Amino acid sequence: MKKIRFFLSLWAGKLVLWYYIRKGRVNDDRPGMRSMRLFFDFVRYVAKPKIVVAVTGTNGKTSITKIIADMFEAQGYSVAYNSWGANDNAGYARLFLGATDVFNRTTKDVAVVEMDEITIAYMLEMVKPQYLIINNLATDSLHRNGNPDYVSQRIIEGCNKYRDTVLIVNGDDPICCGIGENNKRVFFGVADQGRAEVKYLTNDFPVCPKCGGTPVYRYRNYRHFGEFYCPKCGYRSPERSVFVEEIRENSLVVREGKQKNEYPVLSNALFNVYNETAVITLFRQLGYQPEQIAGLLKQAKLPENRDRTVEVNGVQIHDLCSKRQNPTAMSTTMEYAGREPGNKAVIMLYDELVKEDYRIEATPYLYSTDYQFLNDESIKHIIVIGQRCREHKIRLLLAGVKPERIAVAERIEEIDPLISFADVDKYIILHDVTYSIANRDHIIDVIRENIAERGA
Amino acid sequence: MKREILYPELTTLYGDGGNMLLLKQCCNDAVFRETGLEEVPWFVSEDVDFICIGSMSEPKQLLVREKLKPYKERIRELIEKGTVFLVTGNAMELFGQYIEDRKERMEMLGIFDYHAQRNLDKRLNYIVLAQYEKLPVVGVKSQFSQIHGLDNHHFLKMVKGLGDNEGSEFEGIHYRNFFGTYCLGPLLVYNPQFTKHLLELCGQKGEIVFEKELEEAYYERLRKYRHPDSPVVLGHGFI
Repeated sequence: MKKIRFFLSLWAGKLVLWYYIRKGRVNDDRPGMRSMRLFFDFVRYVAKPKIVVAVTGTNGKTSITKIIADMFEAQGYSVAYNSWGANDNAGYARLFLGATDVFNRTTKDVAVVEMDEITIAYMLEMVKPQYLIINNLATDSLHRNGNPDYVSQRIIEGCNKYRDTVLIVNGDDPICCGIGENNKRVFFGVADQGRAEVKYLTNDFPVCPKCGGTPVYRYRNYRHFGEFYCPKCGYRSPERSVFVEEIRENSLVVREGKQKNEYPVLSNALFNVYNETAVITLFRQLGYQPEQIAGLLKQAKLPENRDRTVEVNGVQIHDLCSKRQNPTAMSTTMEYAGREPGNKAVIMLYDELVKEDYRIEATPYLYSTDYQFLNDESIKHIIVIGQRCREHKIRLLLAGVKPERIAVAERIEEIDPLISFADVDKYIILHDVTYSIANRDHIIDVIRENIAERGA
Repeated sequence: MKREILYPELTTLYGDGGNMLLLKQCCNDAVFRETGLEEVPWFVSEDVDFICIGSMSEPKQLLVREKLKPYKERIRELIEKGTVFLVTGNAMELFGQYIEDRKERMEMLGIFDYHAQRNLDKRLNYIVLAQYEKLPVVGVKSQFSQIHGLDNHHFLKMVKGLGDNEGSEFEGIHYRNFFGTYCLGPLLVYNPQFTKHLLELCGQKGEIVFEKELEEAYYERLRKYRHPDSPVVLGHGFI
């Protein structure tokens, strides 16, 4: 009976997929939804490629899956991956629908699966990856992921149900280090970057999970990532078998045991170095030699829309995106905006610009986000655009930003007169990763026109 | 005036730190103390006039319970004396009898008669549109637990959204000057008039900081919540 139901769900999903592809809607989960509705265990029984790699964690999943997919594709492998970031059950089903034929035979060499940190509790044993990368865990959107304690418990559940998967774990993240004690684990990390201690509003590792003591860091690279130990019970950072000793302008020097290897760097931003190190660790586990990995990394790219800079008449326009409602990601971009040299105008575009009058958002995340980084003398102007501009303004005021530096606009049409400053060297646009891309492009155009008119 | 924030390193999980941030900026004459987990609370030896504690992760609730257990009689005494307590999110569960989930029953401080029923597989995300006496109150909720056994001393009368439990027309507890609620926002930032009321209970009158901006945001939110088409359940953070 299960077999019949499975094949019915497979064929129904394939039919819907065929229709959607014809209509140009390739990245749509609905074919997967169709299969899952007919048979919830669809993903358990669908054929998998020979290599299945899964990636989970709070931040960096999409970047890591893209790099991995690029590196396999560069070798001529056919790769299935949920490139559009659909990391829910229907998204997995859709991914595997595109990687099998109607007889449930796999048609791809590799699947790279971005996996949601909550549903992994029951989906890991269905997806059955040989490798699971756990990149980091941090406070995320309130309504979905609760808090890192809760999320780590869900991942632990998933790993306990499927112990065959090899875990590639960020050994600098103390929350991740407690996951998968019954799985084979390989840890990676990054050496001390010599950063001054920064006080963040959210501390995801305030107490030792073993004994409740106060942990101590030998060094902290950012947020709660670094080399830690608990003086009360001895819980400490694990041995990191793949360890970035040095971040150079164009390369990473990585130590493995007594050997040191150099790899091209995709981005010097520290969070991207962690992403890349996770990938290097994976490919070393797959048996690739360092030179091979270095060659493949040259053919990989980070996802677009994550970090771009354009220059107009000597004025830089830099846009940084982050997941909205994710305090860690938003704080990272705000910290960057504050630290950037030169005088800046910051444009905050986190809220979609919609016509409905009654959309409601829960905004507790604003108070877990480090808006204080925007209270910097070098940030001369802050413009907040979107439906919740008043809430962001209050947050900025409570962070100490002077009222005269803040302007708000509820609608995109109102921004033109607001974005024209002669006293800045650069514009930094902070925006959401999904909803505000089109509006970001519009704002960049407005800035360009204003700069050109001024003849700056 | 003495104001204490209990265990902020653990208890500002869901933006509750915003309550504390606003309070600090409203209370120029008050002395604030943030008590860490390894410290003895200030209220043990001092007559603190305002105590604040917010949301925390479920494992951390047990840690905090152990820290507060030795002082539960002192807490009772302060509540009876009229000390203002603002207890938000799942911190409210600490002051009840117990928390029960599928696996176990965990005894809490036992100061009030209610208890919490918890289901970690179902997160309840709702708006809150309610009345505190004659004042409309707005907020949001995100919780795994529902409160049962709270038969009187209600804080809010629900107009829209989730109360103590599915079906309840009330939310939270208000006993003397003890306010316990799952309402987040943060509550004080979302509701400037309620914030002024709370400060008046501590003997502080007058305008609060950024009152004009807070009021504008409050009325905009109230307008949206009252709209007949506004959703009650919040999905992935918003609808």
